[in-house]
Amino acid sequence: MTFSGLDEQKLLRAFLEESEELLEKLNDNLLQLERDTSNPDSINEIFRLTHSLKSESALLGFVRLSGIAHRLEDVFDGIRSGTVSLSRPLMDAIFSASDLIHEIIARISIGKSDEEIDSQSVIRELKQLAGLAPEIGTEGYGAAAPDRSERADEGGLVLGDFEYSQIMEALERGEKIYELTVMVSEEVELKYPRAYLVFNNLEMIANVIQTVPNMTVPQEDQLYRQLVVLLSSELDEEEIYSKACSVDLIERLELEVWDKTSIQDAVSASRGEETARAVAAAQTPSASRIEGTSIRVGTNKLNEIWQLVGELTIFKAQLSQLHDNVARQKGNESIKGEVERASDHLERITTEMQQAIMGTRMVPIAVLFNKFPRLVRDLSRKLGKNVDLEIHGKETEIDRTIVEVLSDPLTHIIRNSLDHGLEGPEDRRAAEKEEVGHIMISAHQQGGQVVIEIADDGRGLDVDKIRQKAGIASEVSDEEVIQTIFSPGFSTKEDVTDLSGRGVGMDIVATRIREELKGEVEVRSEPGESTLIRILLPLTLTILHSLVISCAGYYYAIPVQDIDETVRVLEEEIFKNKGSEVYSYEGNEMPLLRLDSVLIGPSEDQQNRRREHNGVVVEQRRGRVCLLVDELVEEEDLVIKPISELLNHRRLFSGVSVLGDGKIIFILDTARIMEIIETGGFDAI
Amino acid sequence: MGKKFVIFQIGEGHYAIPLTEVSQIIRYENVTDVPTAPPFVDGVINIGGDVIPVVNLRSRFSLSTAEITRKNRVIILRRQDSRYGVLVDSVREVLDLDEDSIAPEAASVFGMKTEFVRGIAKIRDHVLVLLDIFKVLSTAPEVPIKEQGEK
Repeated sequence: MTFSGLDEQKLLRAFLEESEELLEKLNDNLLQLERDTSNPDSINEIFRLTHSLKSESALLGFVRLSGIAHRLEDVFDGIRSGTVSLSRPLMDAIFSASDLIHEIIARISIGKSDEEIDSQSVIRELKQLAGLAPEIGTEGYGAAAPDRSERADEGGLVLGDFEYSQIMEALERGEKIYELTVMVSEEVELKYPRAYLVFNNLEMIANVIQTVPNMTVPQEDQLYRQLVVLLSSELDEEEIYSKACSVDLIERLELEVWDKTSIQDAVSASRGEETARAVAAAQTPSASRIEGTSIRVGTNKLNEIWQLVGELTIFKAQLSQLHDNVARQKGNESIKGEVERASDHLERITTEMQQAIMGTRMVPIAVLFNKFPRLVRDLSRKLGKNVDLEIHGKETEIDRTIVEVLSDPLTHIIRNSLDHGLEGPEDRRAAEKEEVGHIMISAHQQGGQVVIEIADDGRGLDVDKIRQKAGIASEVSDEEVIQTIFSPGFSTKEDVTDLSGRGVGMDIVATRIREELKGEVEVRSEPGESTLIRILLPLTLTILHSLVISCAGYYYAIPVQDIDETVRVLEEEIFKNKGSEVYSYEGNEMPLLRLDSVLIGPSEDQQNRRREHNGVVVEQRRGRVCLLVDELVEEEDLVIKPISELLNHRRLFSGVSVLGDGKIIFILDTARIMEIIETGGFDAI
Repeated sequence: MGKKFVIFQIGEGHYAIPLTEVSQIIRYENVTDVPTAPPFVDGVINIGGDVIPVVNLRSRFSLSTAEITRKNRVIILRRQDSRYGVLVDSVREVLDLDEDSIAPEAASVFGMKTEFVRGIAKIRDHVLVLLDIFKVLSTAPEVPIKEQGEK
């Protein structure tokens, strides 16, 4: 990265994006390290991460941030080389430092500087606990000092991160950067004091950024025959020059003003070297390196593009219609061919574009899961519980709008597991369980759905208490009883906090999942053994793989995820049972619904009924139902739009979509249809 | 300062709605029938990929239905994220109305229930009813907008 070519805003944005990724990795690795304090991979990775954070932030002039990162880097350098041992208090201090880094980056991202943050106490604690040597000189020179003196042999300036930040600050103040080279006369017996005089003179009128050799720690006297000073000052060249000249027995004196190019060169030269060193030292295994790059895009921007793609799809259909018309006409064979090719081409592009845009909406669920290790760690320590968290299926992809809504409910479930589900160590011992409690979070894709499970091996739900509080009759099975924790208003009932607390807020969680995300949630529990909460979510809220059907001359769609199977239903397989029709299928009876009678009204023409029907068996948590339709038209990925209240007063539809040819299609809300059947049929609404 | 209003006609009545509530005015074309919709919803139209219900104001006002002619217009209204279409007999003009030429409604005009009327203005020979159109649209289908049907 160079800073002269890019404007600062861009640089800052890039920094924030990078640091977000970086912090996430840092967090992951810290948690991993805590579990296995001797894991060399984690140690190396953290060293590498803190190193790059130090460099990146220094480049942008975030001195505090860079300072903390630098300290962490030192600590991990020490751990790596075995001079620092990783104690529990030190681990805590490292976590606080990482929190502070989070806080600072959050401040930076809202346009604030890092200067009001007090980093000293954290840094002090880190140094103390790690037993690092007190540093020499100003902050930032400490640990790296031996390196610098080593390289002073070569006589050149080596710019570290603090040097960059000083340069940046100086430039911002409008100062110039000078490089002054002084040759102390060969005949001078003690060269260091001579060089020191020059250095001292300059210190009085300018800000000395670096000297080679180091002036604060005297080195072998011969080294001071040549002194290179990098300094910044608002004074012009003559004044600097004359001040430096006022010392006698100086053989030669060169003053060079650094322009942008030379700053850039110096920076990239030493940065490249440093980075190379760090990488080589860390010997990072390739698997833990950064996978791919990313930028952040606002969801509204994506939606805008999505909208345009939708319009394009419709236009594509119009064009292919036009093409069909042209094809029917006689003559113009060459034009027909061209139109056909153009139409095909557009079709291919549109389809690909649709898929690509759909892809941008999907994010790995890791963006959500990654915050849980920290949550579990902090909460379990607060509660004095010993918890092991396992996460599976992080790579499962899900629509980003779902992720946004899912974050709170999921956090709530995990908190509940920790707080109320898992017992404390003593209770666990008493119950002859392993002292360490386990929580497992997993995600995987199943058909058109994402399944998320949160399991714990805690005390489970107290079915009897729930039954009692909710006033449920004894013939209802335990399995059904525990589902009532999701019933609206359950947690507002009195004394509910006693129910191992598991019900608290679960109704709100369920409402969000069911209504906002069109998902499902269920719970299973073995008393004294475990609790499992399973959430089923659509992959995306905007695209639904659906079966288009026709019914009485109109088109509707049924989400494929709701469909169990499609069947041929003979009229003689339909029976009346207590006034409703049922379909006898493979020895089982299930409710049957003639869709046309629901959508259009009761069929007046009984004689005209066909002997054979297309049936769609839909399955929901409530059970199964067979819907009779006219034709099964096709399966299609539909872009779902919200439906106006005016068109949906019976709430039969969950959305509406426009097909490629402009045809408007309503998406049937099968859960609602089931609910209506259960609660007394369609005559009631 | 005057405010702009779209003036439209249904039956004999002249109605006005603020131009700021109107997103566009189109011909009655490509309206797809929706069998499950309430009777006063003529169907839906597709505007830029959005499916917008078209409310027949004649039938919402309990007037006899009339054939669609070339004078019919659909006024597309926008409120927040939702758009609605209303079918009117014709769109007359866009007018500047001074605040002080608008009288708060006193009695029912054209049999309109007063809760749907924002005010009344007199322009030339006509009485203009300033309609609270979103209230009309959001009111349950069973509730009549007028006290009784117009002859």
